[in-house]
Amino acid sequence: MANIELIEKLSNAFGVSGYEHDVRDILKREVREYADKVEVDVLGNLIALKNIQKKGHMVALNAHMDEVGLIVDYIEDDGFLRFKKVGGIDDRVLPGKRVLIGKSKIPGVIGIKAIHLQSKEDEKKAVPSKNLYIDIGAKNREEAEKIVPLSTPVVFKTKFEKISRSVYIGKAFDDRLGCAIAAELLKKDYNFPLMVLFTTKEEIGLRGAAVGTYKYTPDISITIEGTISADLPEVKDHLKCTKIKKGPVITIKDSGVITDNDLREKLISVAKRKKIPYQFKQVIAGGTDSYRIQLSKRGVKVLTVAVPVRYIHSPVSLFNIEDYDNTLKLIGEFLKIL
Amino acid sequence: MNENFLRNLVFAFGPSSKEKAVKKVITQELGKVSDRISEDKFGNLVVHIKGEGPKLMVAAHLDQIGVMVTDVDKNGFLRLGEVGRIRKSFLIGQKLIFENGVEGFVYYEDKKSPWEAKEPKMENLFVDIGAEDKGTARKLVDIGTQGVYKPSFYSFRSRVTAPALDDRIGCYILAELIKGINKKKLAYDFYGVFTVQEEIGVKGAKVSSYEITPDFGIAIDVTDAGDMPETSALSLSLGKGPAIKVMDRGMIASKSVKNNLIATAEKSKIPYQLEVITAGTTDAYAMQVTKSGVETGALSISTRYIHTPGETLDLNDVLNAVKLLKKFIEK
Repeated sequence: MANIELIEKLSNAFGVSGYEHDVRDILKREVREYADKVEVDVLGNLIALKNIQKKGHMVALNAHMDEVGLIVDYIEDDGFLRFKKVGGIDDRVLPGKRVLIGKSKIPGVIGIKAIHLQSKEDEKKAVPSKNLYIDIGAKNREEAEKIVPLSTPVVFKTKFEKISRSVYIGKAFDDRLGCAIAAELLKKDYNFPLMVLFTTKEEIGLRGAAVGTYKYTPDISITIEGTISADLPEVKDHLKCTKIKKGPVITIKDSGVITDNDLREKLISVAKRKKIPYQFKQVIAGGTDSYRIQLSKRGVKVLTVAVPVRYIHSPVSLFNIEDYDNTLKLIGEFLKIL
Repeated sequence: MNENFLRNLVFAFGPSSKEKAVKKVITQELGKVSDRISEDKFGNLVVHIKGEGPKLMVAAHLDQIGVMVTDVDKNGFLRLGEVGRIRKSFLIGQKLIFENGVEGFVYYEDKKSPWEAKEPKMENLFVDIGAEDKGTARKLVDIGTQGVYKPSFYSFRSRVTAPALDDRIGCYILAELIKGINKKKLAYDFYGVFTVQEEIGVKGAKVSSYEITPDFGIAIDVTDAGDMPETSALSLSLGKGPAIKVMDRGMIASKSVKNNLIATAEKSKIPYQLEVITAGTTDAYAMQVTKSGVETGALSISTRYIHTPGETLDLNDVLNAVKLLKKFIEK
């Protein structure tokens, strides 16, 4: 069963790409006593190893710690903060949102002119992010600079919350759900060498994973993700990609990889045998750390399994705990047959 | 010219990650002359012929572009995703064949433009496999089932038109090269690698060259011809010799390999062309940046209509490519 407390902690944690330390600290504490060895590499990836002395194929479970966010790149004379996006964010979801800035989590709001003053043309189009700003209530540049130096990272201020019996909302479910599942799986016993890799900088080009499987190179890797669900009213059925409450999402192909055909068949047969619901990712879009890991050294057999999440890369995303539990269960059962 | 072998290569089903049938055709062909065929853990087919001298890796990719079923609707129509850079406007009106032999016809949502498809997008195309409902269709194909253009093979004198000549023609050249190797004359420690998953990101070549760590690399692939009516200005023509790559979108060929290929062609009086192109790339792109670097070049066959069902090339270029590579690897 899901460790809601861990998911909540991870979802609320600060972790814009390149600034994953809060998330890393939580995960390090979580896995330390279950791993033989815990390392942080040059790019900030957290690597937990178990059973390294055992013979057999090494299996890697991996998930990325970072989330999309913003970074302050200019301060106006009147104290407003201009920013750039870190990772893919739809400009249209930015205005009117609360944010937290930097280590000391300074609160701010992404402002926009009141509707009374908008022209008919204004109302028709989204304001591009380069024209938006964060208001921290500073009276001028000097004051703002003291509180928020240039290059400070920014996250959405979103609190993890349960909104129905099995549905939760919060930020960064892509990929803190994967982090939680990987951490939970590390706690179990296996008779093969296991490596759990929590990567950095996924959202800005799978950067952490590009080096994360170089020192220790697995034979098999499972990337655990929170993935796009577009089961929304206006979306045509064949473009919904995945649906929530339909079980773990098994990727056959995304824009980066075709997952290993034989391993994937094994995974599906485990799901069928254990009566765990599953679905396929039905739009070939998005890429994951699997892309990098697959091409490490002599090549790695990769799988990607995900919890379907609505509204990823926005300030609030939504998932169903049954999908989470079934993803945890499916990967857990699969590891038993390796 | 071993036309039967080429025909078998073209008819073998083999989109990225499903190259098994192509490997079988090659293994059978090479089985007659070589017992040094192995498959690496990524699925590349490797033929190692030990020789005195530096390590040379010659690569050609097994896979072809294709499609993947992403959805089956209640009326039994399939929706598709692309495997490699398929050209949507050429997909409409084509027959596809799926990995289990099921065939289908590609059409488009024609509400907006009933006679001709305008700016076709993958999400607006569908396939009719003759199934009347979802249940029937799901018995024939599943989400993830891969398909390719239904193969055909037409030849007239030295010209050939067929889908998947990208890069079965490279496989043909590499296999013929291997068959003709005289170990006594071999100037290299030779690795012929038939690679997987080139069309979705030059993957097989990347991991294979890590494994082999060659000193020199050559990829054999197709490249765009520029000898059709009103096409973009490209100096490559069919029948004027294999093209020695100078540059493509992914790489500038290493001077040593390029110059050595040119010198070999000049010396042996084999016609050749020089290829400078800004579109596309090959396995050579991945090989060149392996570990501390590999001196890498490429030999291309000028081909018209690449990534359509009508890829067209000239077999004289193919014969000359085999001849050139043979001279290249000999002392």
